[in-house]
Amino acid sequence: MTFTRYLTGALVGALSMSAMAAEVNVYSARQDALIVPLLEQFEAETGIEVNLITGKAGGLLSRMQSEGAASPADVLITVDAGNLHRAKEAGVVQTIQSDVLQSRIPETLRDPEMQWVGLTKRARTVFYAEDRVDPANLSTYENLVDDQWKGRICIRSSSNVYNQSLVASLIEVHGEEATEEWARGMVANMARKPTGGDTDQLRAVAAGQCDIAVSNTYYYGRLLDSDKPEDQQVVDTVKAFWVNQDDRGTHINISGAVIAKHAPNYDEAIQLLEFMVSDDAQAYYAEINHEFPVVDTATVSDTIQSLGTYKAHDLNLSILGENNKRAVMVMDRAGWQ
Amino acid sequence: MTEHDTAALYIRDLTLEYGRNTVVRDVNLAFKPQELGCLLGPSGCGKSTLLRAIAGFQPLSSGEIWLDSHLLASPGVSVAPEHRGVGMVFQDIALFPHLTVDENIRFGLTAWSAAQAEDRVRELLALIGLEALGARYPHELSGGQQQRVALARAMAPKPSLLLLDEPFSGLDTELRGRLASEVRTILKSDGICSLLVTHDQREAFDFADRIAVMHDGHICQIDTPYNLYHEPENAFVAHFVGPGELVDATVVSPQAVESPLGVLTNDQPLAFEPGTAVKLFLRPDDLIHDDASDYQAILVNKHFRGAHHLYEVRLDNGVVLGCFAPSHHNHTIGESIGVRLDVEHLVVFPITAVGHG
Amino acid sequence: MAVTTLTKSDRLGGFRPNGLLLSTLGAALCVALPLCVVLSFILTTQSDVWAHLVDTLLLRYATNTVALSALVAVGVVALGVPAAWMIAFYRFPGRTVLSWLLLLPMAYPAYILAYTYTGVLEYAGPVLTWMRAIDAPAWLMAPILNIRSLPGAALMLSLVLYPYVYLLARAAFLEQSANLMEAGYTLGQTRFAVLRRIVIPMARPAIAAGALLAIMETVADFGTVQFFGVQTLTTGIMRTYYGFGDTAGAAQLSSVLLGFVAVLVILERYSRHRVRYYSDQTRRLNQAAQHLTGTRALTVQLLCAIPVIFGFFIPTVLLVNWTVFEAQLQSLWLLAWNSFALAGVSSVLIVGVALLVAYANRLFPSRQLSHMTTLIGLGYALPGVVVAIGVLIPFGSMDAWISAQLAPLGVEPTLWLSGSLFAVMFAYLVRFLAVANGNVVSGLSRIRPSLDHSGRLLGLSQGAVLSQIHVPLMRSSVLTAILVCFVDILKELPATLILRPFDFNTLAVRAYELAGQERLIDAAPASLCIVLVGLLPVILLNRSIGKL
Repeated sequence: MTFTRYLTGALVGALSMSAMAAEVNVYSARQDALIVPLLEQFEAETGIEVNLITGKAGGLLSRMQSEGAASPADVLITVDAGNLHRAKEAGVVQTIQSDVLQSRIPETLRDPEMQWVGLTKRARTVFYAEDRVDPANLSTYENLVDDQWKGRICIRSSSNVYNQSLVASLIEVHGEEATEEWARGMVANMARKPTGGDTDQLRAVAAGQCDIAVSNTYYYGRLLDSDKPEDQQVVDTVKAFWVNQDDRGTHINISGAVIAKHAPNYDEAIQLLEFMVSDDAQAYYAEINHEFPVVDTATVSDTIQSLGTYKAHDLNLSILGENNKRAVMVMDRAGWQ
Repeated sequence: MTEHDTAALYIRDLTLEYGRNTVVRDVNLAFKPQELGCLLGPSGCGKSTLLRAIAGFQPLSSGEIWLDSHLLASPGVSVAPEHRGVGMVFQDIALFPHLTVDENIRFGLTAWSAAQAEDRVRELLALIGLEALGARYPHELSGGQQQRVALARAMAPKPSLLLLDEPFSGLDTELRGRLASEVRTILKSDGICSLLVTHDQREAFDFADRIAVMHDGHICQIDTPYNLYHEPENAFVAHFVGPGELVDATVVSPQAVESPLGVLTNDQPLAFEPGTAVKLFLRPDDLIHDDASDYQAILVNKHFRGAHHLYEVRLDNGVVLGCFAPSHHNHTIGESIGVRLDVEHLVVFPITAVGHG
Repeated sequence: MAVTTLTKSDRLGGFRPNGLLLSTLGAALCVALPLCVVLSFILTTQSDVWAHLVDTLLLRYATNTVALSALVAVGVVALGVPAAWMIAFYRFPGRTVLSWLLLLPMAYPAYILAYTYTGVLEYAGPVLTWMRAIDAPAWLMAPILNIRSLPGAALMLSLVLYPYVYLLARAAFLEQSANLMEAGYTLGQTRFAVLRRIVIPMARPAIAAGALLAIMETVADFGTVQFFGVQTLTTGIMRTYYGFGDTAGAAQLSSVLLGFVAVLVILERYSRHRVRYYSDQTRRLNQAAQHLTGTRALTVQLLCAIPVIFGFFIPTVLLVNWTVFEAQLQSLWLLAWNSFALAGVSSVLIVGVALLVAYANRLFPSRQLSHMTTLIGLGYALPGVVVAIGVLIPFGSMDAWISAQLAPLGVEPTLWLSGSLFAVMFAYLVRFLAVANGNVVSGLSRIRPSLDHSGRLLGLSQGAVLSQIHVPLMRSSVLTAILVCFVDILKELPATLILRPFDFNTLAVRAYELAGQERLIDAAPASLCIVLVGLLPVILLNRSIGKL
């Protein structure tokens, strides 16, 4: 929205919003580059206009909360089950009534009460320096606190929701106390103070700052796809290891969506979500960000296939949200910056 | 050179330049130890530049500056200001605002022992009469007090020479005169050879043993205040050190001139041949109002000065002269009054040199 | 000509007196609102998140904030004082140019400098690639790799904030009478002793005031520390508000930050006070300055150039290079229009309010009024995060109330205040009114009351005095005030981030988002835009200081 349109619009406020033709207002925590093409395709197919605002997940949620009944939001697209759950807890969502969504999305990847649905899937696993780490010594997340990894691990900060969800899953498996112990072990084994994003951790391994990084898979995928020599150098020397394959499986997470409690355009919102789980959209969505589709029938890109198959932790992801606050506190107490 | 040996400050053939402007030209000066000297001149005459050269803030173009038989400066030689043993009191006072009076005075005593320095500060505070104010900051003092502190600070390290750069110009007139003689007393009691720069003739008279009158980069005359006033060597000096007017006169005998107010006899032979046309310099105190006089003049203006009047009277030939009259002789303007000259020592200049003034 | 009796209402050229006083009161209340809201949470029941914070993170937030402030203080003094010293006391070729080049880093928000340096210093960036190619020692590469750290953040902040110290120290040096230094020499002190015992002690309050201003900006900074992963009070407030979704905890953290700021404000006022008392000397230093040539001049030139090179030229060259050759150019027009229009309208409004306050103070000086004006001055010390939280909370409640009142009339619930540009502008008003006020007051103080009086005696009406005397005389300071506010708003990040309405992005927000997505090079065009516009007031500032 432009400044002028805003100024005139502000006078009539929500009236002007609802007076317009078919449209859907999307709050997105995903980068616009990742979803704009998809939304444009949706506009072209349905004639429904999509208004998009991007921002940080927490910021968008706070905004919906403070906007309350006046919120123009129809759909909130965000990453991580933790964030989706937080939206549910905040009471800004409503039930997504769609047989299409219910049948196409696996049960573990959506809220039992259909308050949110997953749209893409990603795994969080371990990457290692091929020349310095024998993959035979790698096994599980739990194994990372072993003394042999002292000063060798790079992982981002506890403010990051991917880590919060990982810890939330561990709390579910081992309980809070044991997880706090594990978190302390991780802090003790860190090669450096947590800094930067997942890509930075991968680059730090390539740079020799550390030997092991914890990262979401698609960051590695992006580097695989990059034609920059320095990125190729990273994927040449850093390899993926699927952890916990001999027990519960690798921790996975989703990006997903909710429909706002006060959605002015509920029907259009359902249409948008159903569009996003269509085979084509899934394939595109997964491809563009090197994630995994939530729908089995969607084709998977070559880049993603190159990472190999793995066993995923079969946990209902709503648990991650429920444990989120405890996870943050566990990491705070463990001194995980 | 005897002057060289006995003088505290000795300056020979000094020339100073700012870029291409010659500000001071061929100055020769000598002041004895404990002598209070003065550079008197109008603004822009070069006196402050000369002072800055003595302090070491101004390079020399030619000449030499000696202090206590040490060469301070010549072209190519320049003792750093901090090693000259020269103290200075500045026009803007320049007390350090972040230090107390005590600390200001003590500032230059870094080489002294603490006890000696303390004694010196006490001694100077007593000398300037500010014993009670040592803990104050400069901005808590009056202008006159600040200037006395600045003096004490400059005196503290016992410099061989103290320079005072128009130190009283920022003060009001009444305070100025009082402070000048006060400072004279203080410096005399400490026995420091000092050099005051000023454009104010009264200040110079109050302060100095000997005064060098400067004009346009030259020194015109160096003499005692009395002699400068009564025996100026040229018209500029005559005018600068006090009011007065030039009138035409003719030498009539080796020791007398004829003026519009009659024939005047000097106390010594004149340096002019009889018959020479000269200029006679007359100060207001030379001309006396006397009702009995043969000579009449028209009263054109008058200034009441309390104890006396200063009259301005026009002679027959149109020349206007100053004239003191007793306070009770209250004539009205336009009246014709009797005047006569009462001069012991005649100030006579050749006509050609008059343009110099 | 009519006989004029000077009554109280008459002194007020054309304005209604009550209107002026009320607008000052209103402005003061605006500034007080977020302050009071945030402080009121000290008294509320403590949330479990707050207890958790006290147990775990509060100490780290506080120590990091203090450590960062201390490092920045050292940094700005180390960069600003020597530069000011060389410009003030030496004459060398290029001195005039350097004296204003040294101001240029002010155009940079610290977070943009952080993005730019991280972009070029990252592992795969040109610097480290080259260093690896020449087998540079590890100890040399390690600090570069660790740029994203507390010392790194301090360096970025120092590079953009040192001009505060440079400006104030330079002014202090120049205002010192040359006679004071000469007095030191005639008292037998060497050049070094004069520096140590006179020049530095006298400039110390000015240097302290500059450093304190820099520290205030540091504790308010969000973009840089967030990007570098330094956990300070500002990032803590953001994390508590967004991460835990806990408003009360965020507000309580805000009040801790406010306590810190309060100490700084008091220290700053104190040192300012002493600065004023020092600056009564008039004679300039030109005569006492030392002329340098040859290698010594070259050394001084290089030393002066260092802060400019690292604080301006290197990042600008990088930004230009990325913008022209590498960035995925998204259209900046909409973002630029949004930013400029928002900043333009806001700064005109803010300066309008500042004018009302200034005239109220001129025409009705009173103790209460001067207290209110002091309160307004505090706004600048409030970190943007705190202002945003303090605006969001009451506006949200007001929206709910208004909606409830209007519901029976069939009006749909709307975010009348909190979700609107009004909230953003309100926050800007709180934060930048002091800046506008300073400029306006200094302009107004140059119009001596005798000018008004002579205008009236020459037959001008009150209105005519305003239009024929004040308007032309005030024009330049009002324009300066608008420009300075404009650029401050353009650079402002945290408040805009929190308060901006639906679908409304600015250049600063875009740069922040792209940087957050590790697309530093793509953030270059928006960053460059901010910096280039930010240069305008720097140039203006330089012109108003005039030739040295």
